[in-house]
Formats: sequence, structure tokens, C-alpha cells
Amino acid sequence: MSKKASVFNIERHALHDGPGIRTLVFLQGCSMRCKWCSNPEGLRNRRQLMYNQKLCHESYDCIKACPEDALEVAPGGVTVNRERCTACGDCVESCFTDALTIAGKEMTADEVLDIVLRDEAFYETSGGGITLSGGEPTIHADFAAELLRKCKDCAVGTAIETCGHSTAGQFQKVAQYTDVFLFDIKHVDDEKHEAFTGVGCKRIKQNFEEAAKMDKRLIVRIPVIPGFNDTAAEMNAIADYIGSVGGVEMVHLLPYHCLGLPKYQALDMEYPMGDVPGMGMDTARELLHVFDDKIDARIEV
Amino acid sequence: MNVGVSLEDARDWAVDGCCEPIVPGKHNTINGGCCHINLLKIFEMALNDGLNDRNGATLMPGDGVLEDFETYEQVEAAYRKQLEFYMSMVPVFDTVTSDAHAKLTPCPLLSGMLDYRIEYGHDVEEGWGPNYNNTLSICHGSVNVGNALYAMRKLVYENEAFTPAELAAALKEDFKSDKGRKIQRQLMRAAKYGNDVDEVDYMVRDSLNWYLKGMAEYTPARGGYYCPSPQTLSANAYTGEIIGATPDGRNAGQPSADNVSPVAGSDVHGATAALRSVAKLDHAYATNGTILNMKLHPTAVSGEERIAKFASLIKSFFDLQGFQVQFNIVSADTLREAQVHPDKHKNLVVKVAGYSALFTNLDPHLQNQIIARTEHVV
Repeated sequence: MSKKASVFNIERHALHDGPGIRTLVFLQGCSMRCKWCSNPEGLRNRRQLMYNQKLCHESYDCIKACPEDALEVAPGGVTVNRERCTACGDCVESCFTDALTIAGKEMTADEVLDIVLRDEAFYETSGGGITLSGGEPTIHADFAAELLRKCKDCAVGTAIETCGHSTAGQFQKVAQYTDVFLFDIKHVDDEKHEAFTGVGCKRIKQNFEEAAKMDKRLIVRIPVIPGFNDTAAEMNAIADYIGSVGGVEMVHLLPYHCLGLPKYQALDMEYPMGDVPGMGMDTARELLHVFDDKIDARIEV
Repeated sequence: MNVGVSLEDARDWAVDGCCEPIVPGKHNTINGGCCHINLLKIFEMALNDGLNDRNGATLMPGDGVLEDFETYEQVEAAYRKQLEFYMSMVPVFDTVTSDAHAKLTPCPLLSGMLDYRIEYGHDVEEGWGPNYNNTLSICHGSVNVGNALYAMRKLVYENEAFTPAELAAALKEDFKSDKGRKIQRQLMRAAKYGNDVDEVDYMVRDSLNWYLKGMAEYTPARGGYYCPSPQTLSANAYTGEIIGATPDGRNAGQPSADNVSPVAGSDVHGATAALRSVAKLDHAYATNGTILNMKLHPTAVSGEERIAKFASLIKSFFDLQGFQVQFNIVSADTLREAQVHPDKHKNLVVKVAGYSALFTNLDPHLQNQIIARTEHVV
């Protein structure tokens, strides 16, 4: 039986997440709670209802359609009673302005593979393939391993975007079928890591060091977050750590942005970064010199 | 070679005009009557018992009105009946225009440059002779017709989401009422060409083939072959003006899709999906070529690495048997800015149909259409 996972987006013609032209598959569920996460619909491992009030035309058909009485009239639209909502999707069917949408769809690895293989012709000319993202793909180890193994059987290149926070067993299971790691290293101080992501970084370091030994392509991605790791001293500590592990081909700095904010509103979730504005390119660029003489680094936008 | 070109000559082919494959020197490069046929208008008339509600004329009585059609097959048959009739009119028009061209606009210089014409002793505009003679026939609205047939089959006849009468009422009032708006949303939600969904892509391919193969059956007044092509260039903007709301969810008066491009904004699964949909068409039957307009955001080609990925994208399209593609690589914001401050953007070149144009010189209708075309932000 093909394994199942909840997929919240499949993006074709992705150009920023690994070599060549790629199909990016986002799995729901994450073992971390980074304050700046821009995909809040990927945090929990289940379907969720999203409501965009800007698109609401106040027809209130959704209220009639809801079998759980989870929707109520509110000024300018409706509110979702999150306790009651089961994300069944009946209201989405009744909504004709796309104000209501469901994030997350249970799919088998074979179903995802079918979509991934549609772009084989483009992988062939560009050296691309699949990139598993999330959420955190390695916590869906059985599903991810099956999907990546089947991709490799079809000569499709494989990559994962990982925060590295899963058990050694889970990580290894997925890593064996991975050609390219896009590995997030967010901080090297355990306490600060926990304060901003909900978990320490010991396990992440272990998995990172294992990945570095595997003789595969390893790219480190560092989200640059105001108040967390945006000082030269902190970036230096990260650079030293990465340098000491070795085997890293390139570092990407990802400047903080707040584009995920509307999604938090759509999920009735509070945005932990509050009103911290997005980071300018120049601020991020100033940190690049930390990596001089240590490792190739560039800004990815 | 579908139009009588030998293999030896075919290997020497070149592109003429916008996208027309020809053999240099041997082809008569005058396109003949160049009769345009508006498939989406014909489709509208097929749902209205053959009546053109703009001028009250019925040239070919239909099979009934939309409310009467109980099966999808009846819809298809009604459309094909109208299509057959209007295709049979194309050679009639071409006889008149070809004759007028020959008498009024001879091309002695061109005739002197082409093979055979001097020996043959007749101007190229007269056709015939040993040259390959193509008469171009152009159709409009083929993508919308395919999308509309698919949406009707799926929603009206398979899912029974609404009745033919409800659909007819919604089309008549241009989806203005609450009920009409809902029906429009359902029509819009049906799968659309340009997203790599086989069912609808094949519907567009098949319905386009009815025209492409149908025209190939006729012999033009100047001899040679009919070379049909769904190349609307930019005329799809004004040929849409004379058509009411259509079952693909399109509002009355709106442009139809340009050339073989997906309907503006309807291709939402990325550039690879759009290219795959287009490559599924039988381009070999479109013997005067096909045109795909695609818009990319500038970030898709920023830096060496992404330029290489862009080159791969194009190469794969041709590996998949695509015929032609052209890109506009400019952000929608820049184009909107150019609408507000045309003086600052006089040099802004965009590709429209088979030629490049200065954006600020285009009429606002066409400008909006280019902006609306899906930006494949990557």
C-alpha cells in the first residue's frame, strides 16, 4: 500500500528550491514552531479551513452548508468556530468567491508521484526533480522515503527542504533517497533556538552532521530573523559551526519577510512576530561578509 | 508535408510572417484570402438555433436552443453542424478576395524573386503554377470553445449541477443575478485548458481539430491547400466584443483566448503545466503554425542559473512537440505603471502575437489584456 500524507500545496516550475526546474511538494505537519513561519497552514498535520474576509461577499450560503454549525455571521463576513470546524469542506463548495478554502489534502505517495512525473521532460533538460518541503518532510519518514525512492527509480532528482528536527531514524530513512539537502540552520545556541522555535538544536545538529558525512549535495539555508540571529556575532557563530562540520556547498541567507501574515489571519492564528517589518536586502547583505573566507554564501530572495 | 511539401523541401523550411512554416523561394508567401472565422461566435449561435442575435440573421437553421439539448452529444452535434456550414463559406469568401487581390494588388517585385513565377508568367497573387500555394484560414476562440464544451459536459450533463435552461438563463443575463453569479463560479471552477488536465486539454485539441481537419478538405480558389491556423494575433480582443456570455464562464464582450494561449489568468499551475497543455494540441494539423504567448516575471530569468533554467523550459516544450512560444518578461506592476505614465515607458517593448510592439502604443483594451495574462511568478 502506498503511504499517505497530507499535502497542502504542489508547486510546479519552482526555480528557487534546488537545481533545475523542480516540483515542490509541501507536506503538512512540523516538529518546530518558529515564530516567523510563513506557512502556518503547514504547522499542524491536518486539513484546515482558511477564511479570507476580503473575498467574502456575505451571501452566508456557507452558514447554511455547514453541518457542524461552526460558522456565524460577523461584521463584514463570518467567523469560524475552530472548536467545531472539522474542515469537511462543505462550506468551500458553497462559497463562490473563494473566500473559504481548505489547506491540506490526504494523498498517497503514488498520487503525488503521478503529478511529479508530469514534468519529467523539464527535469531532463534542466537537471531538476522533486523537492519535498513542508512543514517538515522528514517527520513523514515512511511517506517521504517511498515517494523519493520511487522518484529515483524513475531517474527524477530528489531534494528535501528540512529543518532537521526529527529522530535520527526518521531522518536517515529519508536521507538515503535524497540527492540534495536544503538544510536550515537557524541558530547554534540551544536556549535561544528553543525560545524562538520551540525546540533546542541538539537533534538538528546531529542530523546535520550525519547529512554532511553522506557525500551528497548539502546547501545550508539561514533565515535571517530580526532579534534572533541578525547580529554579526550570532551569524559568525553559525558560520563557525557550519565550517567545522564541513561538506557544505553553499549558504543561502533568507531575509525575514512577513508575507505569511494574511495566512495567520485566515486561520484565526496569532502571528508571533507581531508587527516586525520585513527585512531590507541591504541589512541581510551586510551579514554576508561573515562567511568570507569560510564558505560560499549568497542572498536568496 | 500535410500540405504537399516534399520531404526534401520540408527540410529546408523557414518561418514566414508570424509563425507560418514555408519553403523559401518555392512557397507563394501571399497568404490568400486569409478569411477569419470566429468559432466562439459559431458556438454561441449553435446554442441559439443558428441565430446571430446581433443582426437577427439565421444563415443555417440550428438543432434547437440550449434549453432543448438533453445530452452533451446534442450540443456537440449542433455546434459541428454550424461549424461545417460556416467552414463551407470560407472558400466562397476567398474566391472573391483572391480574385480582388490578383486584379487590384499584384506583387511584381515579389513575383520576380520567387522560383517559377517568371517562367509561369503569372503574378503570385494569381496563385496556381508550380509553387506551393497556401491559403491561410484563421480561427478565433478555439480555446474558449473547448473549455465551454468541457464545462457543459461536466457540469450540465454529468454532474447535473444545473439544467440547460438554468445555464441558458444565466448566459442571457450575463451572470448578473445571484443565481447567475453562482453558475458562473461553477463554470469557472471546471478544469481549464492550460493546467495540464488531460480531459479538458483533449477537448480543446479535439474541437480545434474539427476545424483544422475540416478546412483541409477544401481546395482554395488559387489552388494548393488550405492552411488553417488558430492564430488570432491580437484580434481576439475585438472579435470577443460581438459575443455574449459563454459557458466557459466568460462574460459578454470579453476577449477570447489569444492564439493557442490559455484564457488569460486561467492557467494557475505554473509554466510547465501550461506548456504541457499547449503541447498536447495537434500542431501538425495547424499547417500555418500556432502561437503561444506566455508571460514570465523578471525573477524567472535573473542570474545565469535561472537563464539556464529558462532555456531548459523552452527546450523541453519543443521536446514535447510544441510549435512556437514567445515570452513577455515584465512585471504587471511595470505595465500598470506604464499605463499611468506612458512618457516614462516609451521604450517598453512587449511581444504581442507574432510581432513586438511598444506597450504604450497599444490601445487600453489590449494593454489590459496583456496585464491580465497570467504572470508565472516563480
